[in-house]
Amino acid sequence: MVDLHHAREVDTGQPPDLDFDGFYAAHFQSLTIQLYAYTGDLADAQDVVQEAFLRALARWDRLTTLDDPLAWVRRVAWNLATSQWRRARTAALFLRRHRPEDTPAPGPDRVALAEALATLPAQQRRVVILHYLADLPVRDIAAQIGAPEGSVKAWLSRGRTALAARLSEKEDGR
Amino acid sequence: MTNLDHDPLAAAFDDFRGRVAPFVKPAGADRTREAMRTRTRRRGLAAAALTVLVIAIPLTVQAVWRTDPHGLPAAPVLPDPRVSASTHYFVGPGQNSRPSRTAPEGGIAEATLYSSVIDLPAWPEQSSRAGCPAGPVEFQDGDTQNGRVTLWIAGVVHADADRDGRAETFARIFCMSDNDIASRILALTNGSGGGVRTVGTVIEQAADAVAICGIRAGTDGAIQVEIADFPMAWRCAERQLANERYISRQWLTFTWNGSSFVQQGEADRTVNPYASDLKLTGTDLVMTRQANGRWTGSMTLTVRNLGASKIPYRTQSIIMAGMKLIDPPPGCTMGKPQAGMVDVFCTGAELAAGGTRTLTLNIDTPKRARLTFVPSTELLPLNNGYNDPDESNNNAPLAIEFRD
Repeated sequence: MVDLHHAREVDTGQPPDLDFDGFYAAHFQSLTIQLYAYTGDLADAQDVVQEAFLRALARWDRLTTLDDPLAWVRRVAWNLATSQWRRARTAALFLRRHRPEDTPAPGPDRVALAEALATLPAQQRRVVILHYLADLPVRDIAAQIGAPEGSVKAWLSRGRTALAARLSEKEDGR
Repeated sequence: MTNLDHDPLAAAFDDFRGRVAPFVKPAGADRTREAMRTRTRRRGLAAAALTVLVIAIPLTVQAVWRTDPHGLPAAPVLPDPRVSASTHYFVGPGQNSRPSRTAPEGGIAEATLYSSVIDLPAWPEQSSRAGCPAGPVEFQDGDTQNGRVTLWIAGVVHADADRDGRAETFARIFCMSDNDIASRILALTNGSGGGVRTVGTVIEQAADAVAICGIRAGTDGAIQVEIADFPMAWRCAERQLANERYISRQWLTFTWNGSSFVQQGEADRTVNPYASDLKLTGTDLVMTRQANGRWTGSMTLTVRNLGASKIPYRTQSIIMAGMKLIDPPPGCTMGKPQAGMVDVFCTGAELAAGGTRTLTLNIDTPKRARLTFVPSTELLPLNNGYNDPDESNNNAPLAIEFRD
């Protein structure tokens, strides 16, 4: 049984953990799930999130002075993921050395949502994931991706509609 | 934020979270620390290696390669340039490889090619407009990126195309700019001064080869290229997204005739029943004040099918909360207002190839309001997104204006 409470990114209402171990343990999974939803590749998602935490560790003293260190790590991970081809050369070099075996992942037939998300335009996919999986309000999504709140609202609205339509098609197709 | 009672997508995402969570395997904080220490050490080593390289360059440039600037080369006299110490390369989505450091006599090793300057011929007009560069481009470990344009090498083979006993090198090269992806097969050989010289293009993505999926050496110096009729032309760039149900593949054979590469035989002409292209245009919504104090206006949406197959679709127009449809056309409904806006959805039955459908939405609102969002209309193909690859014409800007 998976504890969804721990899988969520924003869950405790407490200030961010200031020790790296606790911070890593609290947020690695939720960030990876978000990036998996975006990329459709769990191994890649783990790679970019790990790379983001690695970069966070390298500047940990400065990072802990930020109001929201998690936002910094999230932004780095998403930037790595969205600069798709460049990201992997950096991240893969590190993590493939540390990955003991191929990363098992849920098959597409088991996660229809991932397949449906893959059909959305990138901006819509991104804001939908940040809304539903990172539980971010529109204002924070806009801040993270550097877009006006109005655009985020529009993307979110279109993305939700498109996603619902896709999932509905899949249901009908069964 | 997520509300299981009111939003079915929230339940889908929570289910997703639960299904994926057990598969996430963190490397752990300790290994992250270890990696950071390793990376710091490597940076030190890299700086030392750079010093050695600077010393080595004067020795390299003394060498001269004999080549024919117009055709395939005579015998090069130097070994391949040295390559990066890394053995891991990334050459495109889903295509991690360990490039070979060896090549047949005369050929360029895959690893060498991955970190070289390649003189790219001009891309077809559409790709060129999208920013795909021509001329010398420096690749590093299999790819290169400049702003929103990324190029990468995905597949290298060798064949003795001119039958001189020395191999030529053939590479599949992709260029991506946003969602536009082009690909081609280039013939390359060792150039003068230790570089790579481009002999020519074997084939590139075009109307009759919408996806270049593979490359292999044939017999007697031939080069073979796999093409596929993906409705979405770039699917061969992302293997994991390929859905074989929608495509057919075939291998084409090319040989060198002394001045260019020519295709042997005819390709099977296939018409992909899933290929299509919907185009949306729309008019602005101009609201005018009526005698009763209310505001009314209309907007027209036009959907054209520029493709080869019929396709159903849905349009989604975002207008202002408080606006209502007057006599909604069949298939049109309104969503729930949220954040100052409301959606108008119109479902269209299958639109035949070459067909056009026009829809007029008449709209009423009790009061003038100020925009707090970006209105527009989006078109959503209702066939798993597979058969409308050109998304650039699926959106129509919408201006909403109030006139007294």
